Amino acid sequence: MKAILEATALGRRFPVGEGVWALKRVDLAVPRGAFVVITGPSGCGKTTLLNLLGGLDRPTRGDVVLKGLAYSRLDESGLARLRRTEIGFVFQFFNLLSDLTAEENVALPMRLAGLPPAEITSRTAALLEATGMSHRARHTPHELSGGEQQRVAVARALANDPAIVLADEPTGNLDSKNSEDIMELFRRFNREKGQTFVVVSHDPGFAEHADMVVRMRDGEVQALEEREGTGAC
Amino acid sequence: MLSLLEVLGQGLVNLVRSLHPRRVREFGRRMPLYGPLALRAVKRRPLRHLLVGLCLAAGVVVYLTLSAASHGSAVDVAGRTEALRLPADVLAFGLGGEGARPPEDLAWAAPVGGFEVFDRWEALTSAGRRWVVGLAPDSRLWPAGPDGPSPGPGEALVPRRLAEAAGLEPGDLLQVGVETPLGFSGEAFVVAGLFEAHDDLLAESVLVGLEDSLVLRGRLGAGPTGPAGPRPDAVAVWVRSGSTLRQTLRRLESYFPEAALWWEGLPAQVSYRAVGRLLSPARVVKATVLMLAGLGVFNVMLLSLLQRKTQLGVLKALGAEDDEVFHLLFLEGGLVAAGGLVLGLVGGWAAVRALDVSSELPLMLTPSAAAGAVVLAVACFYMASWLPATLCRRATPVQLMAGRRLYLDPHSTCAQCGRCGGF
Repeated sequence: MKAILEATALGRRFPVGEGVWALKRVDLAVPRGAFVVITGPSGCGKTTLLNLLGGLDRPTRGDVVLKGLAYSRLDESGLARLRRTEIGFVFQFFNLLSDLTAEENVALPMRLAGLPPAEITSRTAALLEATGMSHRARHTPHELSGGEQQRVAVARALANDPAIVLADEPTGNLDSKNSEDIMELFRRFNREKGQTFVVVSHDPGFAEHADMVVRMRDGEVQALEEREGTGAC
Repeated sequence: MLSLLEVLGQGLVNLVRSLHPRRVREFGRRMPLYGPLALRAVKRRPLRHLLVGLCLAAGVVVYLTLSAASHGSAVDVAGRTEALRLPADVLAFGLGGEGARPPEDLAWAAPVGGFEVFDRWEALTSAGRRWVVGLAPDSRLWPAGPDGPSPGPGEALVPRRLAEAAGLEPGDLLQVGVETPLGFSGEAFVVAGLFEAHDDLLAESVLVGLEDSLVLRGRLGAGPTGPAGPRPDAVAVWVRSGSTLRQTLRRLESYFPEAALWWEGLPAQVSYRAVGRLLSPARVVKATVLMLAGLGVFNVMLLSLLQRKTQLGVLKALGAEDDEVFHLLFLEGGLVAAGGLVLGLVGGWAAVRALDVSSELPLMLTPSAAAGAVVLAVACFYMASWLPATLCRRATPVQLMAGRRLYLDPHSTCAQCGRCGGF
């Protein structure tokens, strides 16, 4: 399987006191269309890894390559453009822009990417329909429940048809019913559209259906479980 | 300290870069996206932004009122002292020094209103150490004016007070020369007349013909300014009627940087200084008020950023470039500042009108005061918005989303030192 995202000797040190290596050395290859789950105890470097994979932070050493493009070769603007078009993010606390309605939040990445208005309108409607949020399109985040906000966040992450979606504890702030709904949403987009997902989660429900489970400990990959026949293409 | 300077220097460079036409054009293309975003951010926090607007508006109102009061007072003073113009409407400038180049400088001085060259040097006379001033036959500096009688060759005019002190009368001989190692060397001039001196320039001077002065000084190697020779070294510049004194002085000082202005104690100088004294405190108050307004804008802009770190971080995570977020914050501040400015201009105009009716203050609101208020308010907003916008531009999405402290330089110097505590 061809890797769409590769991390090589990835390390991140934070300048706290004498310096703390939150991520010591991680090598990881994410196949196209795979559903990858990263799991591990708190403080083991999962979120740091995800931030580096998403170009939200710069590694202290090592590099990340997405679709053949090395992050180290990109300046801040280049990295922003890459995030805009090739990466979708889902956060634990939803992080919708509170000034915008649900449909405006979904449309935002497309507007940032400069898509034509007609296309933005049709794709926004389609994504809200697909996530079951059409009836709440004109509502602001304050008027939505946690589950609904996360559905909108998923729609937003998929807006620009990204190469990969990175999710950081997407069900960490939801009850079990909403967690199951969100997991089902992820699985459906992975199964039906072949969307690549990398999800950081403690939720065993994600790991059950993953093509690859990365178990981390103390800033390193402790174990990497690859499962066959789970749909990676 | 050096690091801070480096950071500020880099900030300035980035600021200039962000104003590059290409970047501004790019942002302009995204205005349909960022304009409504900025507008909503302002509308969602109406009370806070209203207070910022009012803070700026108050600054503009005070600025305009003080401008109107000070300008009105200045005009009032100028009106009252109009009768006390410069005697013989002359501002005399001595060029002096090796760098004096009268012909060129005089050509440039012509727009001021008019000029004439005269010679001035310090001599030893039988009436003591005095200035000898050599004037052309049609000089406006002759006590009787350019059309009155002037002394002929070998004749001199002496101030009456000086003549009385030295016991000189018309027809007497006045020795003029210099002291040399071999003793006094000079010539005798006949006192052709006495005159009343009205200013310091002529009060201690013996007036002779320009030719006589140049020849004698050249022969004696005398003169306080420059090498000896038949060369005039002073110029009198006439003030053109209608030109303001301040403009004229500035112009003359730019034409003759090495020159000295002879107008101490003249009525024009007195009124000029009086107006200056009147305006100086007003300027200080105006600057202070606007600075306080700027601090208000700064605090609220900073608060606005710090409370919205996560939102701005998300915007960056979704692909907004650093410059775009920088411009977005500027746009938000600009909207508030524009509102405050309009409110301030209207309020300032109303305040001046109200004071004009209810008090005896001489108020005069000019377009230049309004323009000054606009420029200062924009500068005030710009300076106040720069730091918050720069902090946000430099922070990584993770720093913003995690609500971490922000430093001017998030990577090396500032963040690792951290003694200031950041924002």
